[in-house]
Amino acid sequence: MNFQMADLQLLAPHIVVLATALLVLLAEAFCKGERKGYLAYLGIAGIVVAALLTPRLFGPQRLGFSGMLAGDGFAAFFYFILYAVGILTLLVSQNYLRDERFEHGEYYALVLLALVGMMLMAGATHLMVVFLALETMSIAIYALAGYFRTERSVEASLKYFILGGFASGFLLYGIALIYGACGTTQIYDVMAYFKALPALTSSPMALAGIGLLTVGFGFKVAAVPFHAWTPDVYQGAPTSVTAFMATGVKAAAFSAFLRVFVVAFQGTHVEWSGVLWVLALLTMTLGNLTAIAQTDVKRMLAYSSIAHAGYLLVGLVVGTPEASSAMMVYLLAYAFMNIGAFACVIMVGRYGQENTSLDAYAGIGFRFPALGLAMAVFMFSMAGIPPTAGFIGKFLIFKAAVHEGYYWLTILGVLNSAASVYYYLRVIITMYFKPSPDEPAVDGLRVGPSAALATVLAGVGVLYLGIIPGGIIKLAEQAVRFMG
Amino acid sequence: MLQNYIPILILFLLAAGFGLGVVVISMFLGPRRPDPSKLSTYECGMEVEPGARQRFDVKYYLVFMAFLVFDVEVVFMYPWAVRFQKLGLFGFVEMLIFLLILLVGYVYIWRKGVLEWE
Amino acid sequence: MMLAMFFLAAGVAVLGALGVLLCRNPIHSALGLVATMVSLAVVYLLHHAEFIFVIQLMVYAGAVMGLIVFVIMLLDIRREEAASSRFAPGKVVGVGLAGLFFVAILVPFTSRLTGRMGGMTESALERIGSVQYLSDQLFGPYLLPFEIASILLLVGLVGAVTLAKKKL
Repeated sequence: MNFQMADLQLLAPHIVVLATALLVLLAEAFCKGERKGYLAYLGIAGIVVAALLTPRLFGPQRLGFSGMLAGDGFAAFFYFILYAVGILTLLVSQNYLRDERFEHGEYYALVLLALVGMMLMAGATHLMVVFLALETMSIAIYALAGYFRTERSVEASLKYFILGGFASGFLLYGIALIYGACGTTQIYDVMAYFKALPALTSSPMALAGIGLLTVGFGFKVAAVPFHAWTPDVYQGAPTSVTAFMATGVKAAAFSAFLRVFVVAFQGTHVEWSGVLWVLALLTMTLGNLTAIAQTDVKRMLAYSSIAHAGYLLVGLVVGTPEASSAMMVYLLAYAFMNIGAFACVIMVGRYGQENTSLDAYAGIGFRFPALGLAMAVFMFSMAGIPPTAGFIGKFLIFKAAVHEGYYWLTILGVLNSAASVYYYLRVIITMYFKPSPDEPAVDGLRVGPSAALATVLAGVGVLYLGIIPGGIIKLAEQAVRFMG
Repeated sequence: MLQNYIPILILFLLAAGFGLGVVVISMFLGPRRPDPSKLSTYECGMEVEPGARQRFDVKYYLVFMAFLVFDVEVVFMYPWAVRFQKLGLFGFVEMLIFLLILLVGYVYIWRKGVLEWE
Repeated sequence: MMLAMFFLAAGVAVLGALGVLLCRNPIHSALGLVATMVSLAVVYLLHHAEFIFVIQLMVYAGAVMGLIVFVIMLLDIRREEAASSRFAPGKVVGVGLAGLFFVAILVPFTSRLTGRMGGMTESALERIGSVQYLSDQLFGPYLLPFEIASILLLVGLVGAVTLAKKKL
């Protein structure tokens, strides 16, 4: 038997989150009443317990379950990003669902189950576990996207499901080809096999496998040209789910993307980095250029999330430990600023009327100063203006790229970043300098204690990472060192 | 090993041959004198309204989905049962955890009334 | 004999797949898919994967196909038939890309397999295909994927209820 009790330590955070999800599901089944918003707090309690169990994993790498799950700093760092995403999403959702009068336990259970899938993706060191975890996450998200049952919500769910199923097929076929080329799907064994057999780097089978894996992961992180689903799905899904998708799915997909490409395929870095170079540039440019043309804030944020995937891909192209740790800091920063921005978008809307068009934002900066300030902080951070988290993330990634001599990619990335300032600042300008119409679309904010807390937490996160990022950066660098 | 499957192949061919054969034979041997009442769905004078092609209730989907999930669950139990002795207590606990997670799903759909035909 | 069986099964699988694409009636397409599933099961059997053969027949050709037929019946088919088969430039591009992809997935097989060679003798295959071996693997080294599978099934169940139950 190749199982030891010590392996359970690696799985402890996942078990806690899973157990919480099961509890939420049972509570939904047995507790009377239509309003189950309090289950969000049960979920948060579970995530906090899991977070208490995670620091033990920080340290040298241990593999468990026959080399299928890693307990290392890399996984632990991503777990913490995912905990932040989970807690903020649950807080934001609690308020939002109550206002939309559709509070059911299934929502919270699915968020927690998706979180388990994401965490397994971050810890997986075996392509089969990566695939199963990705499916667990994805199916939960498909259901969440259609949670509101309005026409647009269901359309978003269906589009995401059909294209996502197709992309999973690519991923699975890629895994099969890698198995054909290497005879194993364990990530460290694949790495060793590529090292032992240099001829493999020119084998069409291995390269086709890597290509198909790129498609599969590229779809999940919304990289161009696999991004076509993103705007419609992000716009149609409930706003809290959009925030969860944009941050959680992206973090989880990039964690697996990193471990598979930077570790398992490090022997073929020359081959795949060229392809990803083009993808990164296309993703940044197309995301930003299309975002400029948007007049709907939710859709604009969808395109901006494509652009952010482009910046993150720059880190993957570089592929050094420095770039990997930069991506981790970036993803943490992105979690805070993106969920924060979506929390503001939720607050501007009201029951049955989302108010996501830019015109609705005219003049609300002065009428609701706190909301205006929060939205401004998140927009500045997304644009990468100091002293915010977004600046630190972009700075670290481009620094790593320059160190490896990717000058052109850096220049194009910075130009893109400059272009993106236009549409982020436009939101701020609309909020503060456009006079509000005589009959403003927004006559009050839907703000509850949980949403306010989430916004404050996200804002504090953005500013903390922006002003004193030293500790987190050091932690990320240590985490990458243990990746192997 | 594959020789073991030859009887199944023969059975398959027999079944397919019988199914096809009956259709073909009746096509050649049976007299065909169609008239409108013979061609109607039921030869009792009633028109079928609104026809078989109507939309079914989404309840069917839910019940079938539940069936599919537990069908796959049982599939996993087959290899476990084959090796039950050798897997011992460890295998038993593994299967218990597997079943427990799905049992929560079962309790959930039961309490939610998915299994009731409203 | 084995090779003839393989080509027969593979041929039926391809024909079934073409039937899925070309049939106008969705139920006929579903029947084409059944043919594909069954002949794939035969291919698995020829690879000595007995257990997978049975699963393919029971779960895919049986249960999953049943679900697909139910879903077809949930939809209003008559309206679907009216709106189809119109020429569009998107279709040409789609067919072109699909053809390109088809060529791309054939490329790997122009080179020889680089994986572990020589291990897959007839007797080794027979051992690996057996339920006993699968069971030892599934409940031994592969226990984590096995447990994740139960989470995946649970997510599928809860997701279906969330989307389709009339009164949540």
